Amino acid sequence: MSNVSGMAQLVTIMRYEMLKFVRGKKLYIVLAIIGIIAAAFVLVPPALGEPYPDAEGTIGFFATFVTILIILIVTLFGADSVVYDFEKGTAFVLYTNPVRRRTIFAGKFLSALIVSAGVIALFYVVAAAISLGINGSAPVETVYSMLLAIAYMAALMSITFLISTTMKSTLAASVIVFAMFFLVFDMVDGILALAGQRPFFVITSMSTVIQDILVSPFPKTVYQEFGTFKILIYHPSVATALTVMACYGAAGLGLAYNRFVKKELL
Amino acid sequence: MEPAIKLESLTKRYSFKILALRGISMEIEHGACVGFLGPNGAGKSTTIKILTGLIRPTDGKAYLNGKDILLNKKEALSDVGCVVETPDFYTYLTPVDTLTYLGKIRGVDDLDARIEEILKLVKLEDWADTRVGSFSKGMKQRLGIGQALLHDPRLIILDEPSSGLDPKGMAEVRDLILRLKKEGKTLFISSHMLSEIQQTADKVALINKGEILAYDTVDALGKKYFTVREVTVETADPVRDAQLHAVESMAMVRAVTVENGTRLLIRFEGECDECRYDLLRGLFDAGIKVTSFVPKGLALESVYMEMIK
Ligand SMILES: Nc1ncnc2c1ncn2[C@@H]1O[C@H](COP(=O)(O)OP(=O)(O)OP(=O)(O)O)[C@@H](O)[C@H]1O
Ligand SMILES: [Mg+2]
Repeated sequence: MSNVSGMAQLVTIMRYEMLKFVRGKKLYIVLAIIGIIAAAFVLVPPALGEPYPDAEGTIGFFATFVTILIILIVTLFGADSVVYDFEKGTAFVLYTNPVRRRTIFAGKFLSALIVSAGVIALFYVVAAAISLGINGSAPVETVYSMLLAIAYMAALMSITFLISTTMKSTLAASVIVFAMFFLVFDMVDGILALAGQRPFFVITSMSTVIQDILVSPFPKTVYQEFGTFKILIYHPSVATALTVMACYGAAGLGLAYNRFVKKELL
Repeated sequence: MEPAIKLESLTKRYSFKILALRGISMEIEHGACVGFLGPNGAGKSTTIKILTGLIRPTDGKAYLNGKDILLNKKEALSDVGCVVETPDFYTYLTPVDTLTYLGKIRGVDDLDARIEEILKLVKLEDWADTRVGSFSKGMKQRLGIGQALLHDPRLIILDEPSSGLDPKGMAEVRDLILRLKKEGKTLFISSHMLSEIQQTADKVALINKGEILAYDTVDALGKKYFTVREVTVETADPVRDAQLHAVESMAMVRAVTVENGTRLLIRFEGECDECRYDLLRGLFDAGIKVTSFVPKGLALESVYMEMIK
């Protein structure tokens, strides 16, 4: 009886976690948003009598939506992942099984990551397909931008899991995740920019690389003067961005894991 | 062989003020059916949550089949099925999905056939492919009991198994418990339903305010804590003085009170079926036409009320 390996259990947990996305509404909300962005790009220029942008411009257009799409994805796919079980009482069933907490944690995190990465990849595939259709080509940088977007999403997902293991309600977790990535970090970023400081420790400031990688030459950090004001326009390098993402990802995931294995179902 | 459940001075402090368990120790041997009885807030769910790895004790140890639940949760829980509090299930899964999921985690052989069997057992076969999202509390409780038995575990831990069930459902749970008992399973069932425990359990652990007050067989508890009993007898004809004297002179009778001629309140000594039978026969022998013979309360109830007051 029950000498199921941790690996086999992990696969089972991942399968059912992913089934949750497939059978839930959230995935379709995100897919609908992607559809709307694509439709807007294809339909609006002809309606206004404008020409379509070139291949770089096409991918660039889509890339401007990636950051907000990622925030939406981690909020919808990650924020309730852990807290739901503890709030609703589903943990009373799943967590009393002969399965290690770390297996459950890995199963939840990996499936959220895989589904999110899949959605981002799909978004870029749509962008590339449209560019191919209109311009007959898509820049190779599209792939780099996609990989950076996935890395950025993974960092945010780790922090999201930390919040999901900390909060007591799914609603609170979702609101905090969204507000934090959408507002709080950007406010810090804005204040630092006004102060002329490099916000290299602000995770959301790293998202610029996702668009910058499409621009040639790669944009440089500059000070822009507005009369007496001097504002820093920060463009982290790919190396800096990846390092910061890795730090946030590792710290968030480590803390989330630690909290999760110790979490009590009261 | 190691006992099925072993608790060693288990302590749980939720906060500075709330000490839910005050160092309880207990052993449950294999094949026993033990009722875990106590009023609201006694610490029943807390004990069961520690046993099933949902919370950690502040102090002390808990073993399932000889395996330390804290050090080796996976092995400790491998031959255990449980229902804790009111379980909930993923709303996007049907009972069949849910049981498939849990069955794969536990490594159940011939899973599809077993799931069919279980759904029949807990009478959810008509709902097998309906998503759990639309289930009532009682239906979820049934699925909870079903999943606990899915892998045919040797040890079954149930926290208030009939909560949320209708009278028919309660009777079904009772029959199920008796059936599992016959199959030789070890059962540990928390409840505040005295009748449920009295009808199923061999032994009772009484818990109150985080302490085990008594742990013994139902009979032994009755003998130990309650020697004088009361019975109300209704008769067809008014009781005559000679009959009353005959009753009063019986060995086990302590006192008799007559109410409006046809009702007798008899206090007697001894807590066993035999004693009651002797008393009843004594009444017949005295020529009293007994139409009703009602012992006051259940034996367990008396003990329970006595101990937790
Ligand atoms: N999450 C919690 N935080 C603080 N105190 C708690 C918590 N859960 C339980 N308690 C306290 O611990 C004590 C025991 O609670 P427990 O749930 O184990 O009782 P119980 O015997 O299962 O009661 P019931 O019959 O009502 O289910 C109670 O005093 C309760 O207030
Ligand atoms: Mg309880």
